[in-house]
Amino acid sequence: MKTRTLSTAGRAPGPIDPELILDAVPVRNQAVRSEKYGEGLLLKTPIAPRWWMGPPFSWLMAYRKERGVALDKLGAEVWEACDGDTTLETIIERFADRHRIRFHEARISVMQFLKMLVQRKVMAVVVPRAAERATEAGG
Amino acid sequence: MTLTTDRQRIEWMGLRLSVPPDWQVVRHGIDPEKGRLVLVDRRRQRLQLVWTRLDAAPDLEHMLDDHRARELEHDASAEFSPMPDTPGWVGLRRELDAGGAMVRAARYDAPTRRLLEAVLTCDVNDTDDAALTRGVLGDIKAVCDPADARRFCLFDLDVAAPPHWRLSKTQVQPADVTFRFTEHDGDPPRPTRNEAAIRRRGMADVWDAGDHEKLLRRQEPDAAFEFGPAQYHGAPATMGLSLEPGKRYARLMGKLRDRRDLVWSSPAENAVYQITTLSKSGRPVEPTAFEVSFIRRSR
Repeated sequence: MKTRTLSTAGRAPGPIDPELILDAVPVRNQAVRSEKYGEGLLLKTPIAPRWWMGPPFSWLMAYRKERGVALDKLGAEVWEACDGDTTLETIIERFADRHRIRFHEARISVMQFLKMLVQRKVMAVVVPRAAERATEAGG
Repeated sequence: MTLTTDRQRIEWMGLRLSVPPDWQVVRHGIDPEKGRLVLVDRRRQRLQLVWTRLDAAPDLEHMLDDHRARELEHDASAEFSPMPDTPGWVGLRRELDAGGAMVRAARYDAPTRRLLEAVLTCDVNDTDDAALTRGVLGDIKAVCDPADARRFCLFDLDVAAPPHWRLSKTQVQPADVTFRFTEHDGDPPRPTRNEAAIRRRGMADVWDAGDHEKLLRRQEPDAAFEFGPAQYHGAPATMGLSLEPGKRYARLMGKLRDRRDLVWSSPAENAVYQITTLSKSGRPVEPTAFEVSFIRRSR
């Protein structure tokens, strides 16, 4: 599937038609590893090594190699639901059903959370090609 | 989408309507003189309902002609047709380029002296948009003057306030909705110092351990609560009596109001409800004066 990725890296993508965003698929950053952290999860993203992180500076000072993002129980639930195949609409629908809230309430919560994950580069949101074409056609 | 018997009922500022279950209000007004409700489905806006206080009936046909002229100024190829026959409403239907149609309709409700204007978007997937138009617009009823409205049914919160209480403020966040009411008395009616807040918090499985005393203490750490068991419509509840938080001199002068909190859980709704009243010392307003019921689940 040809895709367009909405990540904060590189050029800023154009605006996505809000009508189509529900068809998008959140995809985890494959380099991120997760581990249990209480009831939630701790996501660890590798930090790209810089020249000044190597010897001889690293002999004097320890540089962290990973950046962590802690998720609570709800965050972990959404993270687990983002399997790379499931659309945002389905993820939101399941979240709403599980917690017995309305779809629109769930949408606000899930979208804000995913926005935070995208900004921290542990997640990307992929818009399917057909949706992208429709967006372009709509200007 | 077609209208089914599974409808969602909304009651707001003296207006009653029923809409498809997946429509959700995203904008709402509480001004009796002029306000609006905007409803969306999952993907787009579906209905905008505007009310305006008018002492005399306007020329609805003239209004629609003006609207048609404005639309044609922007898009000379716009095509209009009469809207599906809906008793009480006059309006226009315009085919949209992307498919579907937009119906703009108006109605004057003489008993409540209100002009109602509706913009309804019929989606390309609606199998019978005439039925949708008739079903939604035909079901819009002006049940009372907005200043006299007592019943408010929106955002999963269904409240009937006692006489002389008016909705003064709303706070709407995901899974956390509060309606605030103020008592009005005299002629002309003026707000008294009596106030009430009805709050519904959802997703209780995530944050509610069932200890409502702790919940109230955390919410109002400066209040000295006296707790006691209570019931609300058969549900076990917690009643908290206290004074509203304030300066010591205000308390000594008796200026602080009596505060009563009634909290109960609704496991079936995965929600916690709370009624808080603030009333003049010695003349308490019981939280049970407010009728709170549950809205049928509609997602």
